[in-house]
Amino acid sequence: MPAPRKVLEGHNVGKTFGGAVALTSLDFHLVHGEVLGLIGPNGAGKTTLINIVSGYLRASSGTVTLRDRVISSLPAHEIARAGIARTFQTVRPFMGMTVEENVLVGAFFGAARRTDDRHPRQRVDDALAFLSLTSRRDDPVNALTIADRKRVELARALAMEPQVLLLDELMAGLNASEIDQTIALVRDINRLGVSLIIVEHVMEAVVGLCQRIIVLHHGQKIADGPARMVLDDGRVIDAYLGSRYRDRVRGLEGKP
Amino acid sequence: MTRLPIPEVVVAVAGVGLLLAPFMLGNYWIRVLTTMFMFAALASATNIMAGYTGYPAFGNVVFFGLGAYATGLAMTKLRAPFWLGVVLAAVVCCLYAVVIGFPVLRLRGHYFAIATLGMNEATRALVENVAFTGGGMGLSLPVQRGEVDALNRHFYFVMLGLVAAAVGATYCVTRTRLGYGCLAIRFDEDAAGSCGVPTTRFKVLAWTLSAVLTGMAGAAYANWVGYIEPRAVFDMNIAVKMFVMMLLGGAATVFGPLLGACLVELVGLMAWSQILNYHSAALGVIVIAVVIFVPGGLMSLRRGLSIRLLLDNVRASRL
Repeated sequence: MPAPRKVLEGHNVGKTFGGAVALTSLDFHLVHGEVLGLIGPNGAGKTTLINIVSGYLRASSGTVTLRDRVISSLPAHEIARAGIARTFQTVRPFMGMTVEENVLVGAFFGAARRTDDRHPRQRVDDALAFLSLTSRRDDPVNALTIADRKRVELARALAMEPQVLLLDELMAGLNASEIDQTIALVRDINRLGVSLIIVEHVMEAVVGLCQRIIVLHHGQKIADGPARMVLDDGRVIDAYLGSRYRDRVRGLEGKP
Repeated sequence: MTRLPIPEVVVAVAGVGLLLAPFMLGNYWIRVLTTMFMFAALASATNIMAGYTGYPAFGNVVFFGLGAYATGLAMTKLRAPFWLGVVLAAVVCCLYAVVIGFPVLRLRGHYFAIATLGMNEATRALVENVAFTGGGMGLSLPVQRGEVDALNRHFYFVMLGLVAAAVGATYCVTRTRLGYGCLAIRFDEDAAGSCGVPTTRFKVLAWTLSAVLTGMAGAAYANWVGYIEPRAVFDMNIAVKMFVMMLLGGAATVFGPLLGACLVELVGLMAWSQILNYHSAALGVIVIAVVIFVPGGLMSLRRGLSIRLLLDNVRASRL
């Protein structure tokens, strides 16, 4: 069996804000077609890592490569064009635009510009249909619920035809049924061939989606491996999950 | 609530009317319209940067002064013809916007606004204190030959042409990737970057476009009035007027700034003749009323006007 293809790789990635250390020489990778979970307590450096990969922040040390191309020195828009899309922790669609216009920005400027011969309008239609937003395409975004705004953000990212999609706490603020729908949606996006890194506190989503999990704590990686192994790791349970969680998951899975 | 139709016929009739008007109106009205056109072009140019891209370039009047002086100097020192003076003004403003743009456009919001104000003051001070420009004494441009009526018509059409150029440029911006990119920057610059919008390049592009149009208006103005001085062409009152017109008509709309310019000039005119001492106050009251009741500008009323809409706006303004 050939070695799994790494689509995204980080070496020795570090970030300091003044004297505060947010990330300490982190090595990570994302395998093609994979859903990688990034978990850890608040302030562990998860969003910082997402921000570095997407070019919103510049790493203090180390490199990030996308298919062997170094991207950590590129500005955000070039990283986006290279094939990395993201959503934001606090949902950030373009509030003064309609649903369709939001998605059009992604289609006009995203990576797909070079890799796909569909017309941008066609990509918009496809992305809207994929997220069941077709009937709301002319609605102003500020008239939508939080859940729908998140879908607009997802549609905008999908219209960019990314190779890698970074989801920063997509489930936050959603109710139980919305979470179930969104998990299914992310799974569908993954089936399109998009590799994903998801930062998530909703463990249901982490368990349901991630093949592999990296746990950050105080800017350091304390675990990295197959989901099942990481979630059973004693250090992870101590640092983040807590023993109540372990008992609950075992209960969910019907194990002693 | 019905949407008012704006068919092409109306635009065509208005266009023909504007082309014939200077042959039927007296010199007074031609001058009024020429001034109106100049401000329409200026407000429209401001709109590309401040309206669509959301960068409050209060100091944009610097390009008006720069254009006026570029033309003035080219025509007096180099004996360049009028058209070449206008082209030179455009080139100078373009270079100035690009060179200053890359550092200044790293700033956002109020910081950017303050920086452009400083830019205008610094440039004015420079022009005022250099002998080459005539300094504070000002600069007289070569006298235009021709009879008064013909000259009036000439500048009428020059300014009308600038309005057409500004509207054309704005229309092109709204129909292209540049327009969507600029709007995305206005609503959320970071998210725009994450979507692949080359934010810095687009901001500089939008500002350059705005600067070139403003500079050409300055060039035309300098020739029209025949005499320029730093305090008159780097005048913050012009900057304020450009913004008021844009906001009154509707920022980030193609025709809003034109509507705003017409209204402000007409109101100014009537107020000027009726209540000499209070015309600025009258204008101020109108501006306050618009900002409170119709913050989206008059163009936002094209889908209909209702008391309820006005009250909703007042509520949203949190007065």
